[in-house]
Amino acid sequence: MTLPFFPITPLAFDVGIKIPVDLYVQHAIDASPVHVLSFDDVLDAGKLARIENKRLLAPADTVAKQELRRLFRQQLETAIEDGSMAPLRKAAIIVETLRGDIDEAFTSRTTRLMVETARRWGKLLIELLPPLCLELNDYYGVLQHDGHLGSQATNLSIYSFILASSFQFDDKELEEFLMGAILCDVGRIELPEDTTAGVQQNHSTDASIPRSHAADGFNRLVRDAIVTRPQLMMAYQHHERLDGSGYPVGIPGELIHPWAKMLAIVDTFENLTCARPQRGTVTRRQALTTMRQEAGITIDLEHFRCWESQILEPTKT
Amino acid sequence: MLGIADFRTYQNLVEQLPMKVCVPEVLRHELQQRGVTDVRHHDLRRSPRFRCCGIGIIAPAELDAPQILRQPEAQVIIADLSRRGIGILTHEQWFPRQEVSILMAAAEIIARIVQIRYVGPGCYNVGSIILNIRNYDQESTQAQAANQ
Repeated sequence: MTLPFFPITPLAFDVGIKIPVDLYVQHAIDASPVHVLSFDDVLDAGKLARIENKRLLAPADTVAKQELRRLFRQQLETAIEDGSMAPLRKAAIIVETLRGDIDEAFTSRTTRLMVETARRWGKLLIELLPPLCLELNDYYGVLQHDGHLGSQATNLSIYSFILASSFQFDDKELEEFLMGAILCDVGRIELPEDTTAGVQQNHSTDASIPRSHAADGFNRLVRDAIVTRPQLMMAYQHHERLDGSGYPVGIPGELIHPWAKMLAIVDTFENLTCARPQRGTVTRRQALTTMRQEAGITIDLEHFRCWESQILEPTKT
Repeated sequence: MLGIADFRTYQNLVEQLPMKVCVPEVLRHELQQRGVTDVRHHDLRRSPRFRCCGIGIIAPAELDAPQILRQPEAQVIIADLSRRGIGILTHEQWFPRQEVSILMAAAEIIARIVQIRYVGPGCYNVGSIILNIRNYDQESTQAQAANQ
């Protein structure tokens, strides 16, 4: 089910919040959504319990999205000030605010707005995420794996932050890298959501996305002078593979930009773990098994090992 | 942009610039053939492409992408031509939307790159749309007229 609802994490809500839209829960992936909270309901402990650990859905109309965006932006301001708020709840609020902003920018189809949003969030993420001291597995629980462009761009930025933390990035580079991760799939805004048309590729991880999106994204971003060369290469080369089997050019590993190689790891993981109409979601471990077979052949071995260690043996802080 | 597009410039550049394109054996055979190229399922075109094999000089014509480093002028192999497009083999990777000037023996073509495929080390197949053709004779005639 992709429309007319979109998922949101219940962790982003807390007691005392006035609900700005009707909310629904879905008890099974194929089940119809059940109305659970009404517009203007104030959350108390009892109402919160009805949505906790549930698949929470909101109507996917423009007004509902705007209202939720407004709520999460307010929540984010509170979260930044509130030292006592649980890190996981803060993460949920950050993720939902980021996703709302990306969705708004991508829906506008305005390159400038997309670039500005990505730049602002690149900067914000390196301020907001480190103090939370959360692991990939924690973030995984608050991210949405519905395969929609906004969700995927959000997930890629969080995953990129985690992967980049294993490498020597200074703040400026990290900001630039995260901005690139948010923007890497802008070429997909030209396509209908969940498209299966025009499939040309047999790569197991991204068969439903037409190959043209990498060059389309490059074409769009290259016109904006703020976008740097490494960011352009992230958009253009994140589907290139070490053995030359990738696209759009089919260059071998030594010619792929290092940031595009890193992004390829998290992008492959994201594509494997998100729900696609033609196949279900695979678990993190199943995704790792698939990626392990590709490591050193199509995707970078060192980057993969770092990523794998984040999932299998998270470092406790 | 090369600026002074005429046969003498072309000839001088061909003599000065080394040919760095490394054409793989499989492609050499194809380059020696003549006639209309095969159309692949993902390669639909409005006009037929005709194989040709000649030496050209490529240079960036307009820089609308400051993030992309300007590649220097270089020798390229003209692989095919159609009414609207030109296919060349280069030793360096060019990028979509880059506008280039391609000097050939008879004319200068201004083209916009649309797709690039890696063929092998030192060899990229670059497809571009023709934006303008400047015939050398026309140019020199106009220059002479202007001088008079």
